[in-house]
Amino acid sequence: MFRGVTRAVGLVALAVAVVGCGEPPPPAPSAVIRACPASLCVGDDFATSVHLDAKKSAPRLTLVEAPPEPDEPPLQLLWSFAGAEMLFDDESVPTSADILVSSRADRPLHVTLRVENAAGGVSEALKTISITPLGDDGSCPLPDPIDDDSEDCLAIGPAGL
Amino acid sequence: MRVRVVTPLLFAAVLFVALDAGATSGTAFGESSRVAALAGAAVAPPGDSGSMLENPAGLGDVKEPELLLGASVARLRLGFGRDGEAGSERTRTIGGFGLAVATPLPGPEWLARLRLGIALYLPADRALRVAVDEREDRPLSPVYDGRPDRMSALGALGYAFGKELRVGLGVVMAPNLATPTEVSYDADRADGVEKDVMVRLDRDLEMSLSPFFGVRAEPLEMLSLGVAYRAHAVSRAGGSQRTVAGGILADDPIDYYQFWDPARLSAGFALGPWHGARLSFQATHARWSEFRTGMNRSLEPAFDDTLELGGGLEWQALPWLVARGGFRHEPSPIPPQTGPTNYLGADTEELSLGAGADFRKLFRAPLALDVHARTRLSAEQSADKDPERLGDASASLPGQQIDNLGYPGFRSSASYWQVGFSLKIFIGKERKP
Repeated sequence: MFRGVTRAVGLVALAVAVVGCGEPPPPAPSAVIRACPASLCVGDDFATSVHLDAKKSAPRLTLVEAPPEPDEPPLQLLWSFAGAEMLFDDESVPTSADILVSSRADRPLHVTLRVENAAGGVSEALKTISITPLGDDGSCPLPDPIDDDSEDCLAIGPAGL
Repeated sequence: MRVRVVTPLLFAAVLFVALDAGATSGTAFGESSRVAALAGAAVAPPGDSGSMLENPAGLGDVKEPELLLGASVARLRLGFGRDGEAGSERTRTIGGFGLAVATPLPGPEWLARLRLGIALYLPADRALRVAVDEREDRPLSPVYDGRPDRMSALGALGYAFGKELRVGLGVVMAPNLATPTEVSYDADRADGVEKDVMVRLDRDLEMSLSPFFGVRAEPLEMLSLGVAYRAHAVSRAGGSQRTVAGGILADDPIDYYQFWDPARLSAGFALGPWHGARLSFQATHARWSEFRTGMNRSLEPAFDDTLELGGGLEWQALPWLVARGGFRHEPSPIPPQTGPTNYLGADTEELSLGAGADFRKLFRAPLALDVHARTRLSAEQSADKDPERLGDASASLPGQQIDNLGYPGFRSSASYWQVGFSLKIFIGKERKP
């Protein structure tokens, strides 16, 4: 009886050890979001287009900008949104590298970019398009228009920090 | 006689080998089945190899070498939704394996009153996970996020002063990671900017110790009293982060902090056995006010200390069968989330059921099997953000920018369902007190 139990415990331990030895995860890509403008005034109500750009994303984790090799398959991109109600502008689709969106701007718009490389590695980046409350006189304090190259169009992600 | 001497020595060897291997204990929700079935109210009733963390003095009740093997699986659901938006749910299956050994020492009576014990716990998913988010406003549960994801270990000693008084002490181990890193750039090193960057990493895993100790007394035949204290358990990851580019040197050391468990002071009493039933009650003061963020910053306002109240019932239904049940009320340590952080959690009620079968009385086999099922149900948390407390998300833009992930307010809920078992193997002969 006791020997049987010992064997059973040994088998369970062996099974646990085998199950515990999994494959290492695939190498992760870099997900980088560049957003411009980075803030909308409260009540913008879809008047301003926000440019979201994922072109600085890279197929591997990197500290510097690293465009894909010519023979490398393209990255799989997927934009998703939470927070304020939003609309895609023009022909933008959630799998494009470069899209235009607008927002009701009654609350922040939280933008998530999911990037998958050919090896199956996945990374996500989160960027929030903030809201700016109106001034005491009811005007929008943000400068207009915002230059796409300004510091307020910061990229978010491993290679953008 | 040879078996009586060799077996405890073998256990002692296992203890020291395990400690040397750097294994660690005290993982949240990784209790033994008996303790889980009593909803943690194990500070006053007689102890065993599976209740060392709750009260190491209970080791004094161990009469023979015993090995405890356990496993559990749980389903966690965390719900989160901002006001005016559809909610989302995160669900996770959490499992783990536990091992504990406890034994009296051989030799003269004064030495035989001393008991040794160790306990190990290994999560099925991750041996250790320390996640520090770059955003301090990420919705996180300080109770469920991270705490079940670590390997843990403890070592304890118990001493029995006759039948009436037992004392015990031990240490819980928590891993710390030293991560000095140097990044430098050499333009002549290789072809391509990326290959010119050199990253030098050094990693060292060190153990920190959190002490715990307890007392258990039986002043009357049907009354047990217990008190136990254990210090808070944390892990840290830190080190210099030097970046060298030509003559420019930037050193921005990191100091990541993982708060595993608050310091706990538990006191309780148990009544019985009376007609085969033993009832235990327990109050635990948890010092959640010591909680610090992943970036090793204190919170303003700090978490609240909490007073958990609970009880458990053990009933000897048959000579070989014990039925168990427990209840615990766990107040939330989280203050109103009106500011920049979004910690999730509300008052939680824990209900548990379990049973234990002693196969020595059924088949004369030196085994005992405990099983349990428990649920933890949280009330709904509701938070409204105060824009004046949120700060400015972008100092370079005029006006105040609000980008908080919980704005304008949120609600959250959580549920946790767990089943598990512990198999106790008795080795050697019972040592009479």
